[in-house]
Amino acid sequence: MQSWRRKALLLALSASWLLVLLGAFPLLRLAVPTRPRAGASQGWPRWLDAELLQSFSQPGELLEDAPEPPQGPRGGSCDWGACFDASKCRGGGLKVFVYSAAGPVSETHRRILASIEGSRYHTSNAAEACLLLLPLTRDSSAGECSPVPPQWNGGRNHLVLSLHPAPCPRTFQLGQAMVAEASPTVDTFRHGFDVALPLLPEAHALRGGAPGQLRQHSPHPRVALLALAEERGGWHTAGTNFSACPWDGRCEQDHGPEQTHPGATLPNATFCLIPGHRPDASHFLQALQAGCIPVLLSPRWELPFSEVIDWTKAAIVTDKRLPLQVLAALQQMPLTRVLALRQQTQFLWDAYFSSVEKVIHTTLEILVLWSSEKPPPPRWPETAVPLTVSEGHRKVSDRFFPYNAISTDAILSLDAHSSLSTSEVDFAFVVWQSFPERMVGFLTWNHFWDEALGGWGYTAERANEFSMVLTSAAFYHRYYHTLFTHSLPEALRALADEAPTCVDVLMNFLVAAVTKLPPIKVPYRKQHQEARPPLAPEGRGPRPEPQPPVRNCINQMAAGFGHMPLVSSRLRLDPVLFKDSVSVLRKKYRSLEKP
Amino acid sequence: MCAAVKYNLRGPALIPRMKTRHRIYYITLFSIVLLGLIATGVFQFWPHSIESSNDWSVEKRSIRDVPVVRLPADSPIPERGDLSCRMHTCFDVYRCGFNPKNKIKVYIYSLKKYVDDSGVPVSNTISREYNELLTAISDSDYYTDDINRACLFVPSIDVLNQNALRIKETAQALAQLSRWDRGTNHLLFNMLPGGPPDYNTALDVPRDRALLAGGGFSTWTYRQGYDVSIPVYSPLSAEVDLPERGPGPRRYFLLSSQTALHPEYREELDALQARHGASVLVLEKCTNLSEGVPAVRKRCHRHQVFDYPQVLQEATFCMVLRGARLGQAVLSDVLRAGCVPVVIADSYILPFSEVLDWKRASVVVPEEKMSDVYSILQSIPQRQIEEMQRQARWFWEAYFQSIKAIALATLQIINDRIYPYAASSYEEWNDPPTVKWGSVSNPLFLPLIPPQSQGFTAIVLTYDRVESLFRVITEVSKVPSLAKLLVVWNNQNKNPPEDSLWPKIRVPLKVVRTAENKLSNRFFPYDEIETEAVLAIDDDIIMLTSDELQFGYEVWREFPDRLVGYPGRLHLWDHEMNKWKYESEWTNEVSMVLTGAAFYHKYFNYLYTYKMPGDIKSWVDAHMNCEDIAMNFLVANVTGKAVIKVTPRKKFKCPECTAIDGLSLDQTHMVERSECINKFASVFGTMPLKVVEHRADPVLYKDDFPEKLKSFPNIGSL
Repeated sequence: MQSWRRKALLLALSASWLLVLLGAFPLLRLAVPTRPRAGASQGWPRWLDAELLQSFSQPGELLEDAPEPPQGPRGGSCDWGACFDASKCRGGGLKVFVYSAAGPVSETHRRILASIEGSRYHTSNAAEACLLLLPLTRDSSAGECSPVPPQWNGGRNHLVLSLHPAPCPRTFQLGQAMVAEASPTVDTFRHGFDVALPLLPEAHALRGGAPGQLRQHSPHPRVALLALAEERGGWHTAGTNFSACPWDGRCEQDHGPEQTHPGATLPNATFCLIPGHRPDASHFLQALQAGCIPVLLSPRWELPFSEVIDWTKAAIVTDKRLPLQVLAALQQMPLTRVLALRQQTQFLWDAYFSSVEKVIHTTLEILVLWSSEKPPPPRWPETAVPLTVSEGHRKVSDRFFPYNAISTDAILSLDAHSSLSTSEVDFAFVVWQSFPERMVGFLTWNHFWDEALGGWGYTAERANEFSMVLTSAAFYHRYYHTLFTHSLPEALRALADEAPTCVDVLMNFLVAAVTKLPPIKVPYRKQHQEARPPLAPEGRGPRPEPQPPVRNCINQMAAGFGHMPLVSSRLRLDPVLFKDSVSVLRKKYRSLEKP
Repeated sequence: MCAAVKYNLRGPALIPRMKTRHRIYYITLFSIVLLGLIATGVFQFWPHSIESSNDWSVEKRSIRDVPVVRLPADSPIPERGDLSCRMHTCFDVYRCGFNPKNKIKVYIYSLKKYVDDSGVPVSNTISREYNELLTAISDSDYYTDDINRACLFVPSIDVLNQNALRIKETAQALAQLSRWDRGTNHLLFNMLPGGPPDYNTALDVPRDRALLAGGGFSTWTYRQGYDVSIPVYSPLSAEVDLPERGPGPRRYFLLSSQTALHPEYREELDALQARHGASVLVLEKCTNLSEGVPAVRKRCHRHQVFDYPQVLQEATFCMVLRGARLGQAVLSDVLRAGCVPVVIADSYILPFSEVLDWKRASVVVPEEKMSDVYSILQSIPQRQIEEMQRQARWFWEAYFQSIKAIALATLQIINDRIYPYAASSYEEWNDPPTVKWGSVSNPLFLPLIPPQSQGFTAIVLTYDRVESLFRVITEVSKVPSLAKLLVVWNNQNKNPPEDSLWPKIRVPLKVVRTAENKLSNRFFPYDEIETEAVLAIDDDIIMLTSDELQFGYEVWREFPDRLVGYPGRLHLWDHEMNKWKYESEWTNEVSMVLTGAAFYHKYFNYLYTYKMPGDIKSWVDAHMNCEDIAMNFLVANVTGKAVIKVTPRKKFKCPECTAIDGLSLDQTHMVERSECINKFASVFGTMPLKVVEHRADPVLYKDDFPEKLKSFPNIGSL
């Protein structure tokens, strides 16, 4: 009994101790003055005398910044202002002279020359050039490098171009020459002066080039999340469970069936993981073309055309020292972002990388951008309302000259003898406003691959498909005038001048190459189609067999573009109530239906 | 926990055998143990409980009371800045470890007053601006007071102005910071670098690997991707109240307001003024101001006196010329006035150039072309000038106007480098808020015609009309491009028919049973959808021919970012009622298609389910109506594009069900649908629907052409 009481007493005592201490604790805390521990600061203090603090600069010090005479360039680095003599470019803009090789011309060299000579920047006179281009190439005669060129002048106004990294030991100092190099290391790259090129494979197409391989906007549900670039040059895909893959690009175990792809095969995955070493740069373009979002782990090389391309929209550049974060970020990336990144890879591939010619032209355009001090105009003209009808027939391609007077966006191209009703024009214009980037026309042609002749052909015969609209009556954006005059190779425009029907082909090629979409056909009253002669292009009989020069035209255009950009469509846009069985009075474009 | 320990210590079985003198001993012992335990607890929890109560946390102290640190003359000096530093070589990213919020943690060293061996102060303890800067960091989400969790360290040693400090001693002070470690992950802020006579463009204080946020970098000193170029703060930003002035033509075309210019530049400017007369205004320091007028706030041209910075608002373009330093505070004043800066300072790295697109807000002219500046500026179209004026003002508001704005932009840039996949985009940095809100960026912007081979997935939403459902399945299965059929069984009280009863079709057929009878089930992004194209079709739409459906799919391929549907509808503004009205009559225009039969991209299912604005999704489910209108709003809002109606109008009749066609529906239905439009327009804050006057037909539709040669002959037949 006593022991029980003792036990109870002890219990009560200890419990009361506990209660007192626990209860007293908050009181204790309140009672203790707020003396924080040293080091455990609670944010930057609010100083009592903060009002009395002096400014970092004395009044007037910012104004009286002592004047200093203009400085010349200081050693070490170059930038555009310091090392480039822009006065030479003042007259005719950027004119480029290309040194020809002393010995036998290599294939790469030949391609570069060809693509520059085809551009509007080229000049064959070294004296009037503002940029002298020295291609460094891997010559067949082992290790031979171009000697110091005659007008070298310390490299001033020179661009040393090498499409493949370090083809030969440099026998001369680069001095003030700019370097356009494939995947330059970040350590030597001079921003705003050097140009980073992509690392092109030997067999890269000269012009045109293969289109991007993305066929759908969103990733297929069963596709691998990640492909890893392998040292040997191939790819290795991994499912969602890729924790077994160390970050040097090798996986300890295979996931699923054989998933190692040889070098040529492009991965079918959402993300392509590319280690940062310089040789891996070749994987980069591969991934870009495949629409596989490149994930670069601390790349030690400058991304191609980084001066003008916002790579954060098409690739993920990240730190290989934080693998878990990268992994988590990829897995949790919202679908919206994945979609945007995938689509951007294709856009960039098509715009800048798919051919040697595009790479060279992008390089030159970056230099033009730097050499002109006027800020570049906003890219695509936006508003679409008023309309100008342009007529001019001195030379066929004159119709596409960007007259300064044309201040509107819509252009209705009309032949003098085309007869369209106002209703037809009205409706076509309304449709064009919905699709300002496309051509909207009345009469159509379709192109086809002619097996027998081994080339492209086209026909004006009425069919279920079409891929071109005739510019003898068509709406399009005036931006295409600018493109027609300024960005098409001279040779193609000359071709168009020779054969009138070629102008139509060329214009359709141009718009299709830009939009990757077919033109739009709107309804056209039948009697005009029967009365074909005034509107139909010259030189074609009723039979679909195209005339030889015309056939040549489409094939020469295809060669000039490097691929066949035309896309076929099977639809026509009609007014909403077109030929519906309702009262004609309800219909806005009723005259379109007159027999 | 305490109680458990107590029992263990005491062991209840021991007590009966205890003697009285032992009892006291045990009680004492026990009390001591208990006290110890509690004391431990208190120590463990004490600092945290203090932290949680912010009220007492702000110290009220005077700067005069900060501890003094004496630097021995021989204390170590850091190496000079390492020019080859890059984030991946000099920055220790491990300190920034995993962070779910993708936000770096920044620690600020506490303030000390540094004196040399003889007690002479190294510098002013802290300037007003640096105090503001550290306060801003401390108040931001970046701040941590735990030095062990920090990723970035900011010394409280003020180096904003190099002229106000002693270089060697400041370097020594930096070197003795507790986590200095060669300056790794330390960030210094400097606005006025260099000093006479040569005015270096970066802070001369040896700082080893520390990052430098500097005003006035040149291409030779700036470590791309490592340093941050910041503006030189203009104290006038806070002192002067300058109401915003919109863009547009102004009194002077070009203005120069800087007072201390090299004579060569001054000559050049005078020549410009002589050539172009009154459109150019070159201001100078006033020589004969009366007493008490601050010279900083006045500028003169001959005998005319102008208020500064107000006069900047009178000019379209304002010169920002290089002085001894490349970074000029006038840039900030100019931007604020909505005057487009003409920057003439070769090799200058413009503030925040890593993220800001200065081409949109300024004109940079090489020094040697200064004489051409007028013609260069004149060649810029007026529309573009106004855009630049707007952009200039926005840059000032967002990144220049206060020390806080400068500090936070700097930290954000570093943060973006460490977590690049979570970085702000070009648009987020550069687009003014009005542009950001107003712009539509189509999520499916790549012009792409998906391959026909992939086909489409038909999704039939059904409740219990099995007979009609089976007819729809049979009809749809005749369409060549159908890849899969998904039946969404929305009836929880009834099981779907047995497998054997379903029509035998050539493509896989799946039945998804839903947990609740909701209309939004039709738009759920089911894993079973493996194609990009989805055909939503009601279980009573049996009047569409195989040709019509196949043609619809091919139209969708040309417009994969749009809703491509059969029955079209229109919204109209009712001027009498002053609100939107739903219209299903025979009109010449369409702005919606019904999703009782429509093709669309499956991505829109994801958007409908997870990104539908406001309460629209639940509202639709509660009202059992208007899910199609909601989908039309969503797609038009995100793409900015109109729907495509395909094929001619036909009566949507079915023998046993209520028609989807508006003509046969009663007035209440129309009122409800109108209400939906008004409700959605208010939630979206705009009317995103676009009205068009066209529909898509096959090329040869109703043309005089042999029917048997047409690809889609069976169009429009009832």
